[in-house]
Amino acid sequence: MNALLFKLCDNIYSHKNYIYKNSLVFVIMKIFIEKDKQSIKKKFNGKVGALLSSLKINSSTVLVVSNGELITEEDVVKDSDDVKILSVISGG
Amino acid sequence: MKCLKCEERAVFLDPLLCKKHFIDYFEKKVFVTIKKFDLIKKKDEVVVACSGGKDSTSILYLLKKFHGNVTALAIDEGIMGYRDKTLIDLKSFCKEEKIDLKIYSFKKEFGKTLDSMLKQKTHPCSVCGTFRRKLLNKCALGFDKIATGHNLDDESQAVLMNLLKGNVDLLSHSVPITSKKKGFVQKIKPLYFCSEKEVAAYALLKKFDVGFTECPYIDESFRNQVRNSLNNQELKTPGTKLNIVTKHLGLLKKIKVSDKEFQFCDLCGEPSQGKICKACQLEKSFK
Repeated sequence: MNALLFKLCDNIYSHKNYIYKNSLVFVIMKIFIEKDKQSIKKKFNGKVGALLSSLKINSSTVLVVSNGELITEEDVVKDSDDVKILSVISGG
Repeated sequence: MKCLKCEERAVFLDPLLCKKHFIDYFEKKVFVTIKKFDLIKKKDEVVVACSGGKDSTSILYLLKKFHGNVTALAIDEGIMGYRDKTLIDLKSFCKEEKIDLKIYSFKKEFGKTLDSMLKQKTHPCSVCGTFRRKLLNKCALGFDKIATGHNLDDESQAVLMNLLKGNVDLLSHSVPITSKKKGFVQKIKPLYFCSEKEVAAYALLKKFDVGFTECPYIDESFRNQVRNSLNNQELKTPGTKLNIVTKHLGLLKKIKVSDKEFQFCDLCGEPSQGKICKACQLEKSFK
Protein backbone atom coordinates (compact mmCIF):
# COMPACT_ATOMS: atom_id res chain seq x y z
CA MET A 1 0.00 0.00 0.00
CA ASN A 2 2.84 2.38 1.00
CA ALA A 3 4.68 1.58 -2.22
CA LEU A 4 1.55 2.35 -4.23
CA LEU A 5 1.04 5.64 -2.38
CA PHE A 6 4.68 6.60 -2.94
CA LYS A 7 4.40 5.81 -6.67
CA LEU A 8 1.27 7.98 -6.89
CA CYS A 9 3.01 10.88 -5.11
CA ASP A 10 6.06 10.45 -7.29
CA ASN A 11 3.92 10.67 -10.43
CA ILE A 12 2.29 13.86 -9.15
CA TYR A 13 5.73 15.39 -8.61
CA SER A 14 7.35 14.09 -11.76
CA HIS A 15 4.96 15.78 -14.19
CA LYS A 16 6.71 19.06 -13.39
CA ASN A 17 10.17 17.67 -12.85
CA TYR A 18 12.56 18.06 -15.77
CA ILE A 19 16.21 18.79 -16.46
CA TYR A 20 17.01 22.34 -17.54
CA LYS A 21 20.19 22.18 -19.59
CA ASN A 22 21.94 19.88 -17.11
CA SER A 23 21.62 22.39 -14.27
CA LEU A 24 20.12 22.10 -10.86
CA VAL A 25 16.37 21.87 -11.21
CA PHE A 26 14.04 22.41 -8.26
CA VAL A 27 10.36 21.78 -8.78
CA ILE A 28 7.95 22.45 -5.93
CA MET A 29 9.36 20.34 -3.13
CA LYS A 30 11.18 17.85 -5.29
CA ILE A 31 14.75 18.88 -5.99
CA PHE A 32 16.74 17.20 -8.70
CA ILE A 33 20.49 17.76 -8.64
CA GLU A 34 21.69 16.60 -12.03
CA LYS A 35 25.37 16.91 -11.21
CA ASP A 36 25.02 14.40 -8.34
CA LYS A 37 22.15 12.52 -10.01
CA GLN A 38 20.11 13.10 -6.87
CA SER A 39 16.55 14.04 -6.11
CA ILE A 40 15.77 15.91 -2.91
CA LYS A 41 12.36 16.75 -1.48
CA LYS A 42 12.19 19.84 0.67
CA LYS A 43 9.45 21.94 2.24
CA PHE A 44 10.22 25.64 2.08
CA ASN A 45 8.56 29.05 2.24
CA GLY A 46 10.79 32.09 2.57
CA LYS A 47 13.55 34.18 1.02
CA VAL A 48 15.70 32.73 -1.75
CA GLY A 49 18.86 33.57 0.23
CA ALA A 50 17.59 31.42 3.11
CA LEU A 51 16.68 28.58 0.72
CA LEU A 52 20.22 28.62 -0.70
CA SER A 53 21.76 28.70 2.78
CA SER A 54 19.62 25.77 3.88
CA LEU A 55 20.87 23.82 0.86
CA LYS A 56 24.47 24.95 1.55
CA ILE A 57 24.67 26.61 -1.88
CA ASN A 58 26.83 29.72 -2.24
CA SER A 59 24.60 32.44 -3.70
CA SER A 60 27.44 33.88 -5.81
CA THR A 61 27.60 30.62 -7.77
CA VAL A 62 23.96 30.36 -8.85
CA LEU A 63 21.04 32.15 -10.47
CA VAL A 64 17.52 31.46 -9.25
CA VAL A 65 14.58 31.39 -11.63
CA SER A 66 11.01 31.25 -10.30
CA ASN A 67 8.11 30.61 -12.67
CA GLY A 68 10.40 31.51 -15.59
CA GLU A 69 11.58 34.85 -14.12
CA LEU A 70 15.03 35.66 -12.76
CA ILE A 71 14.72 36.53 -9.06
CA THR A 72 17.11 37.80 -6.38
CA GLU A 73 18.16 36.36 -3.01
CA GLU A 74 15.80 38.86 -1.36
CA ASP A 75 12.70 37.56 -3.17
CA VAL A 76 10.36 35.10 -1.49
CA VAL A 77 9.52 31.65 -2.88
CA LYS A 78 6.70 29.43 -1.75
CA ASP A 79 5.67 25.80 -2.19
CA SER A 80 3.57 26.39 -5.29
CA ASP A 81 6.38 28.16 -7.21
CA ASP A 82 8.30 26.43 -9.96
CA VAL A 83 11.86 27.18 -8.83
CA LYS A 84 15.07 26.34 -10.68
CA ILE A 85 18.58 26.91 -9.42
CA LEU A 86 21.14 27.27 -12.20
CA SER A 87 24.87 26.95 -11.64
CA VAL A 88 26.79 29.88 -13.17
CA ILE A 89 30.10 27.98 -13.12
CA SER A 90 31.04 26.47 -16.45
CA GLY A 91 34.67 25.93 -17.33
CA GLY A 92 37.34 23.77 -15.72
CA MET B 1 12.65 44.77 -4.27
CA LYS B 2 12.57 47.61 -6.79
CA CYS B 3 15.23 48.70 -9.26
CA LEU B 4 17.48 51.55 -8.12
CA LYS B 5 16.73 53.42 -11.35
CA CYS B 6 13.01 52.81 -11.89
CA GLU B 7 9.87 51.28 -10.41
CA GLU B 8 10.35 47.85 -12.00
CA ARG B 9 11.09 44.67 -10.04
CA ALA B 10 14.82 44.06 -9.56
CA VAL B 11 16.26 40.90 -11.15
CA PHE B 12 19.79 41.35 -9.79
CA LEU B 13 20.91 42.24 -6.28
CA ASP B 14 24.37 43.78 -6.68
CA PRO B 15 23.75 46.18 -8.38
CA LEU B 16 20.03 46.28 -7.63
CA LEU B 17 18.59 46.60 -11.13
CA CYS B 18 15.60 45.54 -13.22
CA LYS B 19 15.99 43.56 -16.46
CA LYS B 20 16.33 46.59 -18.75
CA HIS B 21 18.74 48.51 -16.51
CA PHE B 22 20.83 45.40 -15.78
CA ILE B 23 21.31 44.77 -19.51
CA ASP B 24 22.27 48.44 -20.02
CA TYR B 25 24.67 48.31 -17.04
CA PHE B 26 26.34 45.11 -18.27
CA GLU B 27 26.79 46.23 -21.86
CA LYS B 28 28.16 49.60 -20.75
CA LYS B 29 30.65 47.86 -18.43
CA VAL B 30 31.96 45.75 -21.32
CA PHE B 31 32.16 48.68 -23.75
CA VAL B 32 33.95 50.83 -21.15
CA THR B 33 36.55 48.06 -20.69
CA ILE B 34 37.04 47.85 -24.47
CA LYS B 35 37.57 51.61 -24.74
CA LYS B 36 39.58 52.16 -21.54
CA PHE B 37 42.11 49.43 -22.36
CA ASP B 38 41.99 50.07 -26.12
CA LEU B 39 41.17 46.40 -26.75
CA ILE B 40 40.08 46.80 -30.36
CA LYS B 41 41.13 49.20 -33.08
CA LYS B 42 38.72 50.13 -35.84
CA LYS B 43 40.32 48.04 -38.57
CA ASP B 44 41.14 45.01 -36.39
CA GLU B 45 40.18 41.55 -37.64
CA VAL B 46 38.76 39.90 -34.52
CA VAL B 47 38.22 36.21 -33.86
CA VAL B 48 36.29 35.09 -30.77
CA ALA B 49 37.30 31.87 -29.00
CA CYS B 50 33.94 30.19 -28.42
CA SER B 51 32.70 27.23 -26.47
CA GLY B 52 28.96 27.74 -26.83
CA GLY B 53 28.74 28.61 -23.13
CA LYS B 54 27.40 31.82 -21.57
CA ASP B 55 30.71 33.76 -21.52
CA SER B 56 31.85 33.30 -25.09
CA THR B 57 28.33 33.57 -26.52
CA SER B 58 27.80 36.87 -24.69
CA ILE B 59 31.12 38.25 -25.90
CA LEU B 60 30.45 37.06 -29.45
CA TYR B 61 27.11 38.90 -29.42
CA LEU B 62 28.56 42.06 -27.85
CA LEU B 63 31.60 42.25 -30.14
CA LYS B 64 29.37 41.87 -33.16
CA LYS B 65 27.27 44.72 -31.79
CA PHE B 66 30.29 46.86 -30.90
CA HIS B 67 32.75 46.03 -33.68
CA GLY B 68 30.68 44.55 -36.49
CA ASN B 69 32.53 41.83 -38.32
CA VAL B 70 33.72 38.99 -36.07
CA THR B 71 34.55 35.31 -36.63
CA ALA B 72 33.82 32.54 -34.13
CA LEU B 73 36.47 29.90 -33.46
CA ALA B 74 35.64 26.76 -31.49
CA ILE B 75 37.79 23.90 -30.24
CA ASP B 76 36.13 20.51 -29.84
CA GLU B 77 38.25 18.78 -27.21
CA GLY B 78 36.11 15.66 -27.35
CA ILE B 79 34.40 15.73 -23.95
CA MET B 80 31.39 13.48 -24.39
CA GLY B 81 28.14 14.81 -22.96
CA TYR B 82 29.57 18.33 -22.52
CA ARG B 83 31.32 19.87 -25.51
CA ASP B 84 29.10 18.09 -28.06
CA LYS B 85 26.10 19.76 -26.40
CA THR B 86 27.60 23.28 -26.13
CA LEU B 87 28.69 23.13 -29.78
CA ILE B 88 25.10 22.47 -30.87
CA ASP B 89 24.08 25.71 -29.09
CA LEU B 90 27.00 27.59 -30.66
CA LYS B 91 26.20 26.42 -34.19
CA SER B 92 22.60 27.50 -33.85
CA PHE B 93 23.61 30.89 -32.35
CA CYS B 94 26.10 31.61 -35.16
CA LYS B 95 23.56 30.62 -37.78
CA GLU B 96 20.96 32.95 -36.28
CA GLU B 97 23.42 35.86 -35.90
CA LYS B 98 25.04 35.18 -39.30
CA ILE B 99 28.51 34.77 -37.80
CA ASP B 100 31.20 32.72 -39.56
CA LEU B 101 32.11 29.72 -37.38
CA LYS B 102 35.29 27.59 -37.61
CA ILE B 103 35.56 24.39 -35.56
CA TYR B 104 38.83 22.52 -34.95
CA SER B 105 39.04 19.28 -32.98
CA PHE B 106 41.64 17.57 -30.79
CA LYS B 107 40.79 14.33 -32.62
CA LYS B 108 41.71 15.75 -36.03
CA GLU B 109 44.67 17.91 -34.92
CA PHE B 110 46.23 15.63 -32.27
CA GLY B 111 44.76 12.22 -33.18
CA LYS B 112 42.79 11.69 -29.95
CA THR B 113 39.87 13.15 -28.04
CA LEU B 114 40.49 14.53 -24.53
CA ASP B 115 38.39 11.69 -23.10
CA SER B 116 40.68 9.07 -24.65
CA MET B 117 43.87 11.00 -23.74
CA LEU B 118 42.80 10.92 -20.10
CA LYS B 119 42.72 7.14 -20.08
CA GLN B 120 46.53 7.40 -20.18
CA LYS B 121 47.12 10.57 -18.16
CA THR B 122 45.66 12.44 -15.22
CA HIS B 123 45.46 16.24 -14.76
CA PRO B 124 42.72 16.88 -17.37
CA CYS B 125 42.92 20.69 -17.16
CA SER B 126 46.66 20.71 -17.77
CA VAL B 127 46.38 18.38 -20.82
CA CYS B 128 43.33 20.22 -22.18
CA GLY B 129 44.80 23.69 -21.55
CA THR B 130 48.09 22.89 -23.30
CA PHE B 131 46.38 21.62 -26.45
CA ARG B 132 43.67 24.30 -26.44
CA ARG B 133 46.16 27.17 -26.16
CA LYS B 134 48.26 25.79 -29.01
CA LEU B 135 45.29 25.18 -31.28
CA LEU B 136 43.63 28.53 -30.56
CA ASN B 137 46.82 30.45 -31.29
CA LYS B 138 47.56 28.42 -34.43
CA CYS B 139 44.03 28.76 -35.84
CA ALA B 140 43.80 32.47 -34.97
CA LEU B 141 46.96 33.40 -36.90
CA GLY B 142 46.10 36.02 -39.50
CA PHE B 143 43.69 37.80 -37.15
CA ASP B 144 44.73 40.92 -35.21
CA LYS B 145 43.05 39.97 -31.93
CA ILE B 146 41.61 36.88 -30.33
CA ALA B 147 38.82 37.65 -27.84
CA THR B 148 38.17 35.21 -25.02
CA GLY B 149 35.29 35.00 -22.55
CA HIS B 150 37.53 35.20 -19.44
CA ASN B 151 35.55 36.95 -16.72
CA LEU B 152 36.32 38.47 -13.32
CA ASP B 153 36.08 35.07 -11.61
CA ASP B 154 38.50 33.44 -14.08
CA GLU B 155 41.01 36.27 -13.78
CA SER B 156 40.95 36.59 -9.99
CA GLN B 157 41.40 32.80 -9.79
CA ALA B 158 44.32 32.94 -12.23
CA VAL B 159 46.07 35.68 -10.22
CA LEU B 160 45.66 33.73 -6.98
CA MET B 161 46.70 30.41 -8.56
CA ASN B 162 49.86 31.90 -10.01
CA LEU B 163 50.75 33.49 -6.67
CA LEU B 164 50.10 30.23 -4.80
CA LYS B 165 52.23 28.29 -7.27
CA GLY B 166 54.93 30.96 -7.42
CA ASN B 167 54.46 31.43 -11.18
CA VAL B 168 55.36 35.12 -11.09
CA ASP B 169 56.13 35.22 -14.83
CA LEU B 170 52.54 34.22 -15.63
CA LEU B 171 51.03 37.14 -13.67
CA SER B 172 51.46 39.38 -16.70
CA HIS B 173 49.00 37.14 -18.61
CA SER B 174 46.09 38.08 -16.32
CA VAL B 175 45.39 41.41 -18.02
CA PRO B 176 42.56 42.74 -20.25
CA ILE B 177 44.96 42.76 -23.25
CA THR B 178 48.19 40.80 -23.62
CA SER B 179 51.31 42.41 -25.05
CA LYS B 180 52.41 41.93 -28.66
CA LYS B 181 54.79 39.01 -29.09
CA LYS B 182 56.15 37.37 -32.20
CA GLY B 183 54.23 34.19 -33.01
CA PHE B 184 51.27 35.06 -30.77
CA VAL B 185 47.92 36.62 -31.63
CA GLN B 186 47.12 39.33 -29.07
CA LYS B 187 44.46 38.18 -26.57
CA ILE B 188 41.71 40.49 -25.38
CA LYS B 189 39.29 39.89 -22.48
CA PRO B 190 36.33 42.30 -22.66
CA LEU B 191 34.55 40.53 -19.73
CA TYR B 192 37.57 41.11 -17.45
CA PHE B 193 35.56 43.14 -14.89
CA CYS B 194 32.26 41.20 -15.16
CA SER B 195 31.58 38.51 -12.58
CA GLU B 196 30.56 35.02 -13.67
CA LYS B 197 27.14 35.61 -12.10
CA GLU B 198 26.66 38.86 -14.03
CA VAL B 199 27.56 37.15 -17.31
CA ALA B 200 25.16 34.28 -16.58
CA ALA B 201 22.37 36.74 -15.73
CA TYR B 202 23.01 38.68 -18.95
CA ALA B 203 22.93 35.50 -21.07
CA LEU B 204 19.73 34.38 -19.36
CA LEU B 205 17.99 37.77 -19.69
CA LYS B 206 19.01 38.02 -23.36
CA LYS B 207 17.56 34.50 -23.80
CA PHE B 208 20.73 33.15 -25.42
CA ASP B 209 20.33 29.44 -26.04
CA VAL B 210 23.20 28.36 -23.80
CA GLY B 211 23.44 25.57 -21.26
CA PHE B 212 24.44 26.24 -17.66
CA THR B 213 26.66 23.20 -17.67
CA GLU B 214 29.84 22.49 -15.74
CA CYS B 215 32.76 20.73 -17.41
CA PRO B 216 32.74 17.10 -16.10
CA TYR B 217 36.44 17.37 -15.22
CA ILE B 218 35.96 20.51 -13.09
CA ASP B 219 36.24 18.78 -9.71
CA GLU B 220 39.72 17.48 -10.44
CA SER B 221 41.36 20.86 -10.99
CA PHE B 222 43.46 23.04 -8.68
CA ARG B 223 41.44 25.92 -10.09
CA ASN B 224 38.32 24.45 -8.53
CA GLN B 225 39.86 24.56 -5.05
CA VAL B 226 40.84 28.20 -5.60
CA ARG B 227 37.39 28.94 -7.06
CA ASN B 228 35.62 27.54 -4.00
CA SER B 229 37.84 29.50 -1.59
CA LEU B 230 37.30 32.72 -3.54
CA ASN B 231 33.52 32.22 -3.73
CA ASN B 232 33.37 31.67 0.03
CA GLN B 233 35.45 34.78 0.60
CA GLU B 234 33.27 36.79 -1.82
CA LEU B 235 30.21 35.78 0.20
CA LYS B 236 31.82 37.03 3.42
CA THR B 237 33.46 40.09 1.86
CA PRO B 238 31.70 41.21 -1.34
CA GLY B 239 34.13 42.83 -3.77
CA THR B 240 37.02 40.44 -3.02
CA LYS B 241 37.42 39.30 -6.65
CA LEU B 242 37.33 42.85 -8.03
CA ASN B 243 39.87 43.92 -5.39
CA ILE B 244 42.24 41.14 -6.42
CA VAL B 245 42.28 42.09 -10.12
CA THR B 246 42.40 45.87 -9.60
CA LYS B 247 45.25 45.62 -7.08
CA HIS B 248 46.96 43.12 -9.41
CA LEU B 249 46.76 45.55 -12.35
CA GLY B 250 48.08 48.34 -10.12
CA LEU B 251 50.93 46.14 -8.94
CA LEU B 252 51.90 45.13 -12.49
CA LYS B 253 52.55 48.80 -13.28
CA LYS B 254 54.94 49.08 -10.34
CA ILE B 255 56.90 45.84 -10.63
CA LYS B 256 58.87 44.56 -13.57
CA VAL B 257 57.69 41.13 -14.65
CA SER B 258 60.15 39.77 -17.18
CA ASP B 259 58.49 38.63 -20.36
CA LYS B 260 59.93 35.24 -21.17
CA GLU B 261 61.73 35.00 -24.49
CA PHE B 262 60.13 32.38 -26.70
CA GLN B 263 61.76 30.22 -29.30
CA PHE B 264 59.91 28.18 -31.90
CA CYS B 265 59.21 24.46 -31.60
CA ASP B 266 61.44 22.28 -33.81
CA LEU B 267 58.49 20.00 -34.60
CA CYS B 268 55.47 22.27 -35.16
CA GLY B 269 56.96 25.76 -35.46
CA GLU B 270 54.69 27.21 -32.77
CA PRO B 271 56.09 29.44 -29.96
CA SER B 272 57.75 27.34 -27.29
CA GLN B 273 59.78 27.72 -24.10
CA GLY B 274 62.12 24.89 -25.13
CA LYS B 275 63.25 23.18 -28.34
CA ILE B 276 60.06 21.10 -28.35
CA CYS B 277 56.81 22.70 -27.19
CA LYS B 278 54.71 21.19 -24.39
CA ALA B 279 51.92 20.19 -26.75
CA CYS B 280 54.29 18.23 -29.02
CA GLN B 281 55.86 16.56 -25.98
CA LEU B 282 52.41 15.55 -24.74
CA GLU B 283 51.32 14.40 -28.19
CA LYS B 284 54.41 12.21 -28.42
CA SER B 285 53.70 10.64 -25.03
CA PHE B 286 50.26 9.52 -26.22
CA LYS B 287 51.66 7.53 -29.13
